[in-house]
Amino acid sequence: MTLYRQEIIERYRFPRYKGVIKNPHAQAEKINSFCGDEIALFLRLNDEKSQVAEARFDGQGCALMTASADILCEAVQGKTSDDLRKFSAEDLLQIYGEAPSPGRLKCLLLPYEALKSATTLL
Amino acid sequence: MDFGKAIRKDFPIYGRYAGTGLFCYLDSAATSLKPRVVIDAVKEYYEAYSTNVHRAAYSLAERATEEYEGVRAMVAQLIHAPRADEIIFTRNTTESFNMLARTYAEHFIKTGEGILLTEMEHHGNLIPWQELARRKGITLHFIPIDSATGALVWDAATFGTFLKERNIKLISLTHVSNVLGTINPIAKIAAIAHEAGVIVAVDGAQSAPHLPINVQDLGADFFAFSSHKMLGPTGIGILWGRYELLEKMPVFMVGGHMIDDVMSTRATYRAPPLKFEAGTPNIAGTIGFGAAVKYLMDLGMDNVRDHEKMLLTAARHRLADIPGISFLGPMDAEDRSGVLAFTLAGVHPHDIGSLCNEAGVMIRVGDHCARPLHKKLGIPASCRASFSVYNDMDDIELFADVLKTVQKKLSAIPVSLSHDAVSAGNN
Repeated sequence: MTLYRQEIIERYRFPRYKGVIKNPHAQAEKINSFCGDEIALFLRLNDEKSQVAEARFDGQGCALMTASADILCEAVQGKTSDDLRKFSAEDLLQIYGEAPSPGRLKCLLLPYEALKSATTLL
Repeated sequence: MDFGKAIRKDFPIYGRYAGTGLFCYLDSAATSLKPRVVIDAVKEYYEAYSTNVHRAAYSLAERATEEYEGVRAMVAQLIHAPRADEIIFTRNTTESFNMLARTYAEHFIKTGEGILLTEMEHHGNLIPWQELARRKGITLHFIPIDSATGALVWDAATFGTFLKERNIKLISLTHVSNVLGTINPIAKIAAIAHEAGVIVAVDGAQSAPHLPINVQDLGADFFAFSSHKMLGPTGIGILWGRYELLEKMPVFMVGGHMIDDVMSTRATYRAPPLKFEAGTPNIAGTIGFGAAVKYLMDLGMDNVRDHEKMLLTAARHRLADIPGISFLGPMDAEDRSGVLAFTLAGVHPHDIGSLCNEAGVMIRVGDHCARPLHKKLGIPASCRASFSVYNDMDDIELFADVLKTVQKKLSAIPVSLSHDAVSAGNN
């Protein structure tokens, strides 16, 4: 059992959704003061403003936070703002696939907290 | 004297994980493992004479009182305190500092006066003073540290003047940093402090388990430490203080046990140390701590120090060639104790901690309850391996191998992720 299966390490080393969206429809930043991790999450909607066209994250953090952010950005593509409001921490953990130790749960959920904040702006 | 593998038979937890290959304990600065003699002493109290202390009308309670009180003499011997009745039992080092802040300092330090700490303090020797300062309008000052060497930056020639100019009445500082490992020059600081009429309190949480301690040679007025970091049970700590200071100090917690006479509207209190020990104390923990102190004294604190110095030197040597590793604290093993904190460029401490855990290596990651120190060093967190009597070269070898694997696995990433990263959106 490892929290660091190959996919997680790859998403950490070569994140697919890392970057900044200029003029996003919603944006939120979160910091974990205990470990210094920080994330900014950006959402851009499609022309009809009905769905997420693109999600990106920026910042710095541990492998679990980075991989979680990458997975989250992928997962929210195409979702409506209603979908985003319903999207739960459990949904993210399910996609992530591994149950983290209690001490590391915060790392996985930091991007989720950013998503929740960003969603309120849509 | 035997250490490492030769004494692991004394520590039942090693037996519990024998053959799993998953028990490499390198977090003794957080808490230590417990030898059989300590566990047995606690068990014996509960099974053979689990009665209360200081109220003996029968022989079992007399035994409990004798065993409990006997630990004061053993602790006094360990730290070379002049008197056994200068040893106050608390819950832990943090409670010892809360007691000191609420009693001596609350009573004797006045608004507008100053308390001097250092930039390397554990929160246990920081927050009680912050609260006191807030309550009473006292100013906190800090001896800075040199980030590169991990040493305090102070000048013996001007220190006395500094203390007088800042109206400092108390210095409370750590003997050994729980992050940097730095052994501070307590005796030199205390000598100048005493000339200036300043009281010196020492946080011995990271020194008492690892170094020979002589509170009189150190010139300390108070010295605080915890049982659980030195092979003893959790929930028992020590505040040692010079008797004439303890006599002058007001009481802390009040209630049963600590009273001399009680009327309906007032009470008189016992002499130190009992006036500081309200309620039924941690009898089992104290008796267990006595067994731990005896175990350490049988090993010999000079030998403990030599063993840990050997491990520290070996660990630095074995880890030195890991790409991107950067050690915190003094270079020379003479100047530091057996805690080895480090960062690894491009690898997050929490990932190191988790991956070490997956390989059975237990280290601490985070700020180690010393957040202002980490802020000063400009890092949010670090990794820390720390050694004790049961550690051996096999721990160092395994740890070094695991750390090398972790570094290879996670390091080849862009270290600065960031604000100049590719712009993905185009609208």
